Amino acid sequence: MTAWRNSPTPRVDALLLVLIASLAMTVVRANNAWNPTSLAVRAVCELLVTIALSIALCRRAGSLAHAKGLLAIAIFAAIIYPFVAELALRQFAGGSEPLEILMLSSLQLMAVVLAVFSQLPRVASSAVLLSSFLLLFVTTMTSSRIALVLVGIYGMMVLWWLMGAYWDRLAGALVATQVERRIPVRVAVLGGTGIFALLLATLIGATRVSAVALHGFMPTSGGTRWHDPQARSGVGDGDAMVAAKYEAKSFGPVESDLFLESDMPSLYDMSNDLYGDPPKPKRELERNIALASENFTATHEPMSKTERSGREFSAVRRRGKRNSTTTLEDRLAPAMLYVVGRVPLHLALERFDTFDGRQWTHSGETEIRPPIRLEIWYERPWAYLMRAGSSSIHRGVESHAVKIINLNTNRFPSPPQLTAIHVDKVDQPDFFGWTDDGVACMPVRKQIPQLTVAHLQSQGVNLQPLRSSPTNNWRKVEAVVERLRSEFVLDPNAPAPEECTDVVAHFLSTKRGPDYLFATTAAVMLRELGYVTRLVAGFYARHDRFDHRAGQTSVLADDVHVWVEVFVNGNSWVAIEPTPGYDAPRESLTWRQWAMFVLTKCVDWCAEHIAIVLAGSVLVALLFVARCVWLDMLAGCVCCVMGLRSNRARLLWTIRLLEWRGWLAGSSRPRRSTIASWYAPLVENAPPDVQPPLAHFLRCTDRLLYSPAGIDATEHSVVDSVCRSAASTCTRKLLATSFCQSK
Amino acid sequence: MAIEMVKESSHLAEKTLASPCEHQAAIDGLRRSLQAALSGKNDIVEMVLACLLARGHLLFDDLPGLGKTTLAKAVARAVGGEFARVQCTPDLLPTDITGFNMFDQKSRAFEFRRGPVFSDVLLADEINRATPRTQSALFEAMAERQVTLDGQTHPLSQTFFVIATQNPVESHGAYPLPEAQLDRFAMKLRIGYPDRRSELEMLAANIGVVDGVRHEPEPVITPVQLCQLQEHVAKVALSAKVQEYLVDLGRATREHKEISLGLSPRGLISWQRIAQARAHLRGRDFVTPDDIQDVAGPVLEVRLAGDFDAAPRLVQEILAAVEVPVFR
Repeated sequence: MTAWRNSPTPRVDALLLVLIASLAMTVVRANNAWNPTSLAVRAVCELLVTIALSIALCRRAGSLAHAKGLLAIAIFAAIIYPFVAELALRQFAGGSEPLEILMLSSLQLMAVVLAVFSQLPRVASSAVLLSSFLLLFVTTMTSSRIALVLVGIYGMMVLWWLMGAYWDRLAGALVATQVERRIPVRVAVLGGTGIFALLLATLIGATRVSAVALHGFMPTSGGTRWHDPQARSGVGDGDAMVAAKYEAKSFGPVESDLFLESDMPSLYDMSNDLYGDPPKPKRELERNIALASENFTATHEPMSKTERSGREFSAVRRRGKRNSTTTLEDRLAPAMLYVVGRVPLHLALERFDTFDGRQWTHSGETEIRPPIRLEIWYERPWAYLMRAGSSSIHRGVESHAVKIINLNTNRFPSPPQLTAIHVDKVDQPDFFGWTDDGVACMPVRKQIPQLTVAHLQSQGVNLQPLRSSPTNNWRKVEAVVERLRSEFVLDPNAPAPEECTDVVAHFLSTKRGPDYLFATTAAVMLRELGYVTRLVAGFYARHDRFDHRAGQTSVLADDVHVWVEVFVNGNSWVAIEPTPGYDAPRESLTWRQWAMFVLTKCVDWCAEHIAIVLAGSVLVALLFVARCVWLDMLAGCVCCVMGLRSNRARLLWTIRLLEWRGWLAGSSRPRRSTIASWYAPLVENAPPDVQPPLAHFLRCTDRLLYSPAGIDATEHSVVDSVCRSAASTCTRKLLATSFCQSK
Repeated sequence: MAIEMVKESSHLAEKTLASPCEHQAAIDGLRRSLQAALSGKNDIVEMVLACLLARGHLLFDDLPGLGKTTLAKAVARAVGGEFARVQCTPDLLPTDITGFNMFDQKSRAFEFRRGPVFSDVLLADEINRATPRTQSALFEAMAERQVTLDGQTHPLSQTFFVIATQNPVESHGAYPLPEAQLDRFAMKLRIGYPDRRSELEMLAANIGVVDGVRHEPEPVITPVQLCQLQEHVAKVALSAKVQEYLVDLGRATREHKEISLGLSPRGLISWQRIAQARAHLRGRDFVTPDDIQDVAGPVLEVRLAGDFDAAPRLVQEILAAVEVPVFR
């Protein structure tokens, strides 16, 4: 037992347990975030930096008493860091993590710090205790498989750890022959009573403030007339809505088991046997999905409707207290739809394959497509439209969610290479189909109802096989697109004149026009080169409309856009973007391509800013070469200023200056050497005239550092002169030569 | 058994040391007379002086003929006290050291005959050849500075100073000193061979001298003055951080893997006192970590049970394990 207590390194077992709990916590944070990768990277970086810092601190701590002080400081920093970081992020980058996640982050960092300081007695068990608490919270907050696997691993390991701890205690007790009482009874009783009294006071509502504080402690997204955009869950309205489980109060684009009465056309037909009160007839009768009656809630109040939507929430649902006095107001958004997922994104709504010089039409020819299969995937019905990976250019899968707000069509706004669609509760394959021009739609309905959330899965595209294949000369396509993008100007106010019969010729001569002219020209030019092309109209989800708080991109009526698709390999249509100002559909790159891309970008940037790069590197090189000189000067200035306070400070800072110079000269004092013994060779190597003041300086330092009485009056009078001669004599050169000789 | 007692009639007046100058003069005199006795070994002389001023006992662990007896005699003469020498053999009895009660036929009463411990400087030669029983009698005298015989307690001289020697190569017929007993010594020194120049000087000095050169230094101070010096040494100041450093070093000996028995609190106190003496010898009235490090070797080597040859390396490891307090 004593063996590990006195070991200078942190205990590996505690560190490992805390790391597992931290990973599970990171999974929860990543699940909750809209940009999981960057958050996961950030969380892992935070973890690593915390561990590295704590280990560095620990190494420096040396004695036990020192380490305890550092531990206290580190814990304090760990507690406040997540909140400070969140404030900064909200201010500058639009970060968003709810309060409870921040508090858990505090807990996590605290556990990490404790684990790193676990060589101190009893700290290891505190770290494990905190980590198990962390994991307890994590399990209640997530249903992610990775997190659950981590919890399983943690459970096994902590069991093993507990057994080890038990045997350690036993062994310790046997050695000690006398078992001390470890439970701090007095503290436990006092603390417990205090907490109980506090709880009682809060529950009884001793103060109004406490009641309010309790009510609004966990931020929710409404129900109480105020909503927090960072909330993970909530009832009522708000940006972040939770799907209601027992009592719904508003409509919103979330997937819920509950359905409310509304006049709006609905996908879901309610049949209410319970009250015998039939739902109001729809304005037009459309096909609907039948739902069981227990999913229906009757309300006799005007229902509010939220069109601003945000994240949906997973299975965490709770029964909230119904507050009948508040009627929530409608919050209207101007968006046509919202897109969750990577942007910029091309969302196709219509396609045209025939062009007569003025008009694009669709010929009515339909492609032969495999039948739509409906599969249950994680208890959700997914309609599979296309087999994934059917073409050599397919690479990776992308997921988007489209929240339809003001779109009046039965077509799904679909990203290129759409493979599967999921709409909650719609589990019949004949609800999905294709339009003649090859857009996924709901053939049985005239329009997809408002506030429907459609999850779309599409294939990523990697065009490298096309570029390298000899039959498909993709370089030509890229050349055409590049020329259009570089030599032509996007001008929405320069349409072709009405009497024009060949808009392509007109556009080629004026070299300016709106996006559909770019697309038309590209399509026609590529057809001349022998490619099969078609024109696509739809929406372009711009990345500058991304709302950090809601984690989604609004698509407005202004975002209607036209582009081109090229038929390749005999089985796929590839979208290309000829209009400048719009990003081309992103390829899913291989790691190598990605690295090359980053490299070329960097090289390009450097080439563009060659003067800055050159000047910067020269400056850095100069600073590096002359680092000893300017660091020395800097230290000299600092010591000069700090030494102004008193003779004592003067001596101390002069000795610090010498130490710093020794470090710069590559011969810093070893920790076991005393000042007097280490700098004695310096006195011998100094010029004879400064040897006495140097020796005097060392004597004064010894007296200052180790004599309880401190320096005396006679020494006070010479401090200034001896310090000055020490600082001016003991240059880096002298330090280096003396210590080389003494070695 | 060879017991030799030299009664020194002090010709110095029993005067006390009043001023710091007189202190310094007394110390310099001691130093000079010891350096004359043991030429070329100034660092050993400093250690012996520190041990003397710290009122500790000294153990020499060295080969024969290196000047142990010469040095011990020189110390006794310089201090101006009584010198006694005991050559330890397996048949040496405790009473041979402490003294015994003899029945006086004339006065019809028991009379206490004082043994060699009733002296100011006692040289116990080859102490590891005496039986443990005799050794422990000597150790009681060293620790308690008194001898108890037949229920009667006889106090020893206040400046009682033991210089013991032991021979590391002779293991046959030797009773090695147990660790607990070794703790009674303040330090263990090894004189080692003198350098070439000193040996040449020694040879030159012996030309024409029939009986060999004998240093018979004049007494420099009196036992009373030595007592005064010792009292002065006890007052040398230690700041809190130096004391913490000392305690950390002590703890480091206990945590070292290769050391089975670490430094005892008694050892720590003795280390502090010797560091004080060292600081005093250097003319300072406060102890610095340098003093502690300088005396670490002799102080620790007597106490760290274990391999004889490994001791210097262990001492260096312990010193390296603890950071010197500078700014904290």
